[in-house]
Amino acid sequence: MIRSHNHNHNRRRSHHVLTAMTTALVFTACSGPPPAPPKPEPKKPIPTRAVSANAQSQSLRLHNGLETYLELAPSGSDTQVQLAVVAGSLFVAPGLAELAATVMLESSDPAAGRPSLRHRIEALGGTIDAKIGLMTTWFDIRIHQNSLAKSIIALRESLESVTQSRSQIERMRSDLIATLAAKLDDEPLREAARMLLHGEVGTGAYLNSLLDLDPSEVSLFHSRLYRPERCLLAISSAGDFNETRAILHLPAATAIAEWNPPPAVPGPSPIIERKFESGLYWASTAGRPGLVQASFVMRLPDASVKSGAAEWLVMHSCLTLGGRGGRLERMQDEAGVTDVHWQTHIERTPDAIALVMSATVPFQQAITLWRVLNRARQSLIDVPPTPSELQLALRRARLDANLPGISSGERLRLAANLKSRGIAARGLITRLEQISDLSTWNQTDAAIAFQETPAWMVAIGPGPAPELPDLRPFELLPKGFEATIDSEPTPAAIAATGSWLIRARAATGGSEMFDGLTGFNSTGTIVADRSPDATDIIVWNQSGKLTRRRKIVGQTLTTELEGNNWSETFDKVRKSLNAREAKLLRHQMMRHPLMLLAANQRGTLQFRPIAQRSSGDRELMILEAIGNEFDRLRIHIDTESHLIRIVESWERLPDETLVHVRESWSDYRTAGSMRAPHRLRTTWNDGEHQTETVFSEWLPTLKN
Amino acid sequence: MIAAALCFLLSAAPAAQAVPKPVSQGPPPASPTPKPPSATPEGQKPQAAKLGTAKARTDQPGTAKPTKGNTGTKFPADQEPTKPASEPGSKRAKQAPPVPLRKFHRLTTADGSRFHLIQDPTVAHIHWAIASWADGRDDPPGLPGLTMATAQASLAGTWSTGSSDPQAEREALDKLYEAWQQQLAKPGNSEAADQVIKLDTEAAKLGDSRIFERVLAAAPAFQPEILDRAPLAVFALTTTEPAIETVAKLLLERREEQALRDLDLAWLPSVLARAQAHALNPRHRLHGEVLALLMPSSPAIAHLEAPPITAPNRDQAQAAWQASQHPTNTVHVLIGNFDTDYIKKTLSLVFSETKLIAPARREAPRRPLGGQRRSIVPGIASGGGAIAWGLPPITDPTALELARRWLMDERGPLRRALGKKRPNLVIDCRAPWPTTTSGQSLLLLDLQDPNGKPGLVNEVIAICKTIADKPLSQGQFYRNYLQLSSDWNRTSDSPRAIAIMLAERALVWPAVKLDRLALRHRKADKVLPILKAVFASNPATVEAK
Repeated sequence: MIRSHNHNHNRRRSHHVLTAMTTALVFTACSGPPPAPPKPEPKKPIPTRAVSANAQSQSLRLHNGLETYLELAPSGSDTQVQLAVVAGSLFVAPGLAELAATVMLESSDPAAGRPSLRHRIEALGGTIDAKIGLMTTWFDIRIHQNSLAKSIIALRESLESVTQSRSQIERMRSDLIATLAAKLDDEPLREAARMLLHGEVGTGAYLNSLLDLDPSEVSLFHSRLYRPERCLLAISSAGDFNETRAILHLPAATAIAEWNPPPAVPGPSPIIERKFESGLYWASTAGRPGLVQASFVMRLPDASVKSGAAEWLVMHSCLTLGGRGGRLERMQDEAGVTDVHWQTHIERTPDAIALVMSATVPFQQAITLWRVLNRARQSLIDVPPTPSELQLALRRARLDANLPGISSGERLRLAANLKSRGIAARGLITRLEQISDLSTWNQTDAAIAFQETPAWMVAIGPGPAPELPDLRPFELLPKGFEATIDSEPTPAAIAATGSWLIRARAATGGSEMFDGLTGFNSTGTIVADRSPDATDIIVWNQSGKLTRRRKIVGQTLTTELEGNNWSETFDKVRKSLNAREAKLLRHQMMRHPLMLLAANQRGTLQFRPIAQRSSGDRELMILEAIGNEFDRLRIHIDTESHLIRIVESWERLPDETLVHVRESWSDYRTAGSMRAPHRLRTTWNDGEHQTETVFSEWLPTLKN
Repeated sequence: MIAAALCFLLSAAPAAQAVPKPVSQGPPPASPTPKPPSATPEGQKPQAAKLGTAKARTDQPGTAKPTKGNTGTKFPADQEPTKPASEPGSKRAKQAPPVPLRKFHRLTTADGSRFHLIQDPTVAHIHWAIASWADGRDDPPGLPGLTMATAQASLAGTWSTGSSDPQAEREALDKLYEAWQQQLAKPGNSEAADQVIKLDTEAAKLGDSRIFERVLAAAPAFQPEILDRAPLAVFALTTTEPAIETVAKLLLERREEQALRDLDLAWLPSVLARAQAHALNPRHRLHGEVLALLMPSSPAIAHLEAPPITAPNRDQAQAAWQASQHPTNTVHVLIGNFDTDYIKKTLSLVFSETKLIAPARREAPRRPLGGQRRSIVPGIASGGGAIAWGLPPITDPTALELARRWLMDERGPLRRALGKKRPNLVIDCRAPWPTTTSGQSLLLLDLQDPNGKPGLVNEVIAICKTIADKPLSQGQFYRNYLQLSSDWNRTSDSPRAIAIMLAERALVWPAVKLDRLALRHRKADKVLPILKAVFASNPATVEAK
């Protein structure tokens, strides 16, 4: 019989994340501004510190303020490089840390021909990933020892040249949101657990936050927070410390020790007030009627939790032995829920770890399970664990204590974190050994403290959420959300574009003309900044045949594309073009508004609707091309004149960099039997480069 | 495919390492790093000398004076750990820190179980993986996939753990299986269905399928799971050193006293999944025909056909389980920071005998072809075809893997030769295929041209004949090596995943030592002989019409 104490079961258990995370603040010797409230600190020389408490690891602060942690790995191991930035999900705005990390990984510089950090690491045979925690973001690189130097150079160069292009950042955000939406579709419980470990109240709210972010916020985030004094570089390598230190320092032009960003843009980087709110999180979605996907999410401590972690682990193990046995299973049986087969996994962020138990259960059983979880936790106070329960739990706790470092990446992150904060790596294990003598600690106090630890239940399924105290409804995806990048457009969506395209064709010649349109001949003068004017005489056919004669500074460059023969001739010297270059040239021709309309008429190009927007004094209907030919090609149709005013697209250059091209078409005039634009302004990457083309002649080629 | 093909890079001795040796150190005596002492020590464990035990250095200053800028090629003075001139430990401080070592051991116990023990000072737990064949060699005729299903049902408990009355439960399960077979033989028969429900309820009263995992959890063991790594089944869990004896005994019990409760929960879904896969992959018929030409007794053929919807009886299920789990047919890999002597002793004591009878297995021989063999399989809309050659004896799986990737590569010989004419060519290369011991099987090329141009198979055969004749640079396969390396890095973060991969590798390539091969680049002179030998032989060709 369980004796009930006079506890308010409806009391919300709110756990200040900041309180918990104060102990998780890394790099205590950071000389950057304190996180909350932010205030400027007077500049002072950063003291150099070298500590070598463990012969197999060294900590060192470089003269630019970057803290380093070097570790010897067994010979033959891969090398790990982990860069931590004190810029986690609690900083500034939800989703900003994740987006900033994505931008850091995927930024490329077409002007300099520098591919993204991800591409550079993968080209070395390595991998790179970003792990977002509450306080820290970690860039996790695995590489062969021989490529360590190149990977550090790539890291530094990427830190120094994160893109500020709005279009690039927006593209990365679209990709990130599409990826998250796909994960939510595949494994909603896992993603929900991850959100809870970030102190979020739901996945839909998080996606909304991402959608609301402005690209300029990312640039400010990088400027203010991605700074050497806020970073720690952890390297685990089989090479000796001297070699590794040399890589960090030399050569000076590319060494990370010489990474000195320009002064930060002034302004605060506040920390969001966030709490771990235990409760039943319920999302109503489509699914099999009567069944609900349910999970328990129970936070576990790691060695960085200074006080009470051992006792917490023991109480947790009394509750459940990694999803089996314990009070939880026993009380499940008593409640008649005997046929739940839990799948367990450990969900991790750099700053938090949780046991997640998942199953698909009938709707009513989900409610029962929530009650069982609460009763089982409470029972640790009402009916204190027996000595045999505690011994079992202690045995289990010793295994669980090392779960935060179960992978080599997590182990390195934890080791660097502990070293940086002066916490003994074996502190938690030592404490577990001490409390194996049950007389040395108070189990009831531990059980009471355990009630404060975060524990959630997540339920996702069809039908309205039940009415329960502690129930927190959330949206899996924001209302009306559609990740347009990866989702297939519906036939209805495609059909909705039809009227716009018909009207656009009507405004420029009519369907009959477009039936016969196979190409064009044009003559245009191109004016660009810092370049001499050029004249292009173009003959283009929709089959892909192109002849372009470019006259510049009295010389003629002739480009010919026909089938698989692609070449340029200059001064009687002929040079072959590669497939990528040929594709870029062809796309330039295919992007002409009338060629796009013709392709749509032929049925080779379809569109989906994106939005209707106001731009200045115009209303524009935006349609996006479907299919693999173009990368996010969008046309903006003036809703009044039905003329295509803007064509924008992404193109991949031969050096693997991505560039955003925006073409603004104007000055529509009669051209043969059609109406065509005679002025083109082309902008690359938000104005990095611009040209203006004025067509003195543009004639459609019509088949007889 | 990646897991089966990846070679592990760990090297036992400094001399074998691929990375440059640290110049400043002499070889220190190797000893394991300190392990967390257990509260209840299991057996006698000698405490080896500790490496890298944290000791407070009293000779380190708190801070050093900062200096400005670099001084030539030396580290700036402010970067060096500064020490007082007369520090007591200065001689020791000048020695480079001892390099942590990873050590490999092999053990074969009295019952024939093979163990690979990898002592890794950086791994806090012990990760244990057991690989066994589930390619059909132990499936009874007409029941392809039964071996995998028995593996997936194996965590539901044993006669000792989970049964309240083993004799009664055996009888109840026998009756249940008979009723189940009746039900499948008479689909839609409500009486048969009711009988199954009734007998299932009775059997459930006699056995609890949750207890075994609960006992494992208490051992403690983390996340015991069975992985379908077709054609292998891999069992994996994570535990601690003090629990090794308990866990070993439980795994022995799982092997020897397996009750195969809940087999229906594993068997029926697997049959339906294979039926669906067969329907969605018409090209399985091409591959099945290739095997019929070159390896007609391969058990993989049954896995490529539509599965019969039928149920095994208990004897068949137990026979499949016992054959696949016989000690001589499994490989164990343990990775962790453990006392090797203690682990060896414990494993030797626990795995000392078996009641299982070793199956009389025959490896499916490959039929060498005196000339090309051709076949046509109608009704495959995607067109193209499959070509297969016999593989020579393979001693270097990494070289074979590089060859396989190169053949599929967008810059590989087939796309270079055919890319302009067939820009949408789809190439899938598998080797060794099907997966067998030591790669004694085939190299398969599955080819499709969505444009439907005829003659694809003949063109590819002609190109392959000349591949090995063309000179290749020594760095020809470097790009593929980088891809392989990247794939390896993606999975090698987890010691548990490494244990699983090594167990697979040790089972598939028993002659290749785990501690000898590093994931390093192979020059063309290592890869080319394989391609020469393969393409010099006569292929079997199956065209889709």
